[in-house]
Amino acid sequence: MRWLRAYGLPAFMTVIIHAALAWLLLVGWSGEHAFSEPIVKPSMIKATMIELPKKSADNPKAEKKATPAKKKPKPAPKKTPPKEKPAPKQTPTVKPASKPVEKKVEPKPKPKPEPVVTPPPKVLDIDFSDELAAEDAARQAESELDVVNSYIAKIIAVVESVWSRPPSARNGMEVMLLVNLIPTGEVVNVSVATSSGNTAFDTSAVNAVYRAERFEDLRGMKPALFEANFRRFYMKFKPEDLRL
Amino acid sequence: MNDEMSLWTLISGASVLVQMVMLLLMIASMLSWWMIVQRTMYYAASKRNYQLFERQFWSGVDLAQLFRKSVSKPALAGVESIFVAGFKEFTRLRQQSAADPDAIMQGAERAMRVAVAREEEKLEKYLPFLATVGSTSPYVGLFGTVWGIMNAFRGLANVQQATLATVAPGIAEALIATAMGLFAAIPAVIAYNRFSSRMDNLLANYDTFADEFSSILHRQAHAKSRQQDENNG
Repeated sequence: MRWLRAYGLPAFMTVIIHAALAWLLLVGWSGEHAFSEPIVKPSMIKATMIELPKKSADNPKAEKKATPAKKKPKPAPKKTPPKEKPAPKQTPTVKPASKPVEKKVEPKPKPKPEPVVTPPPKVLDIDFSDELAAEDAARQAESELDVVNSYIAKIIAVVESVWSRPPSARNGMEVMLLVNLIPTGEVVNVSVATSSGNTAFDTSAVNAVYRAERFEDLRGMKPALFEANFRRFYMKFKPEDLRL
Repeated sequence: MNDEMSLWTLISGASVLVQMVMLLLMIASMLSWWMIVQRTMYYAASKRNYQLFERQFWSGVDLAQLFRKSVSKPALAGVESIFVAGFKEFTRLRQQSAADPDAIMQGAERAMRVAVAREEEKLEKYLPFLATVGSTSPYVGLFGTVWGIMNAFRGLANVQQATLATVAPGIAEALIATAMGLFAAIPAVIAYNRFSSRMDNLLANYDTFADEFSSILHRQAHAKSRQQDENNG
């Protein structure tokens, strides 16, 4: 008993002290890594802010009438002679591969170039639906959704910048593409999931994605996030506010 | 990848030598903490014993009675053992009638000196180990770190494109050794300084007690001898 008190108690205290230290270290360790996560996020969001304004600038002008597609009986738009036209704004929509549930994100209104000519400037309207991302967000951190959204915004920006909308595009047209990516951000396959009925319009959308070729920004993405959202996703194109 | 970089993977990923160093430091830390707690308790108990005994001693109780009470205890410790040693020697020498007072006193003082030395030995126990851990474990930890960093840089030499990410884990795991060395050393140094001052304090108390007690014995021995002288003369 005496022996136990003289030697056992110190041994017990020693174990307690070391266990406490180990516990503190392990807790502190994980806490440190949780802290590094938010640092990544703001930089992504910042990147989108910079990229968004660029979109309106380099859109190709819509020119010339194209032959109307079989289903759309409307006449092709008449345009004034080749003149610097205001950059048309289009609306690619990115949708993860599950059923669409609409959620709207309105980017700031673009500065409209002077509407001298017939085609009025289209207002950029990005609406995306992502149920999968929403589900993830419900389950995981809210920040993850923000990250996905910022990637979506980047993809939209890239595709928009290379999309040349055919003149036959009409309001209410809507083509849904199924896009396959690989983790480096390269586009491996694009197919039309739901046709708009206008072949020219469908083709222009498909070509836009192919022309984007590769989404550089996706490269640094977390593999799990990529698999969940961008391995296969739907992308909706519609020329909104096209009053023709 | 970064998510997986836990403390445990850092330790298990270290080279064998670094792991040995960590193990050594871990053991040193465990032992020194065990000693710290054990010594703290021991010094506290010694201090308490001393105060208790001193109060009894100066309360005017009969020394022979106090001696009997002390001897009956199962284990003698601290100042009590000094008292017992001195008193036992004193009575034993005085019973040999031939002995003169100076010889009796010399014998009693010698017995007490021996008892004090024995107490000092007990108080000093473990302190050298603490001093060793305190002074060497930072170096041992540093050795582990240097070795680990050497390996990390050697690995870097084989890589085409040197990034921070290739060396950082190696350096991190190497630095754990230094952290462990410091963790073992700091408490050991603090404890060593504290314990040695407490030990000095207690030993000074014991010495004072031995002197005081020998002066009492001295008075008794000479009173006795004077009595004997008067009777004889």
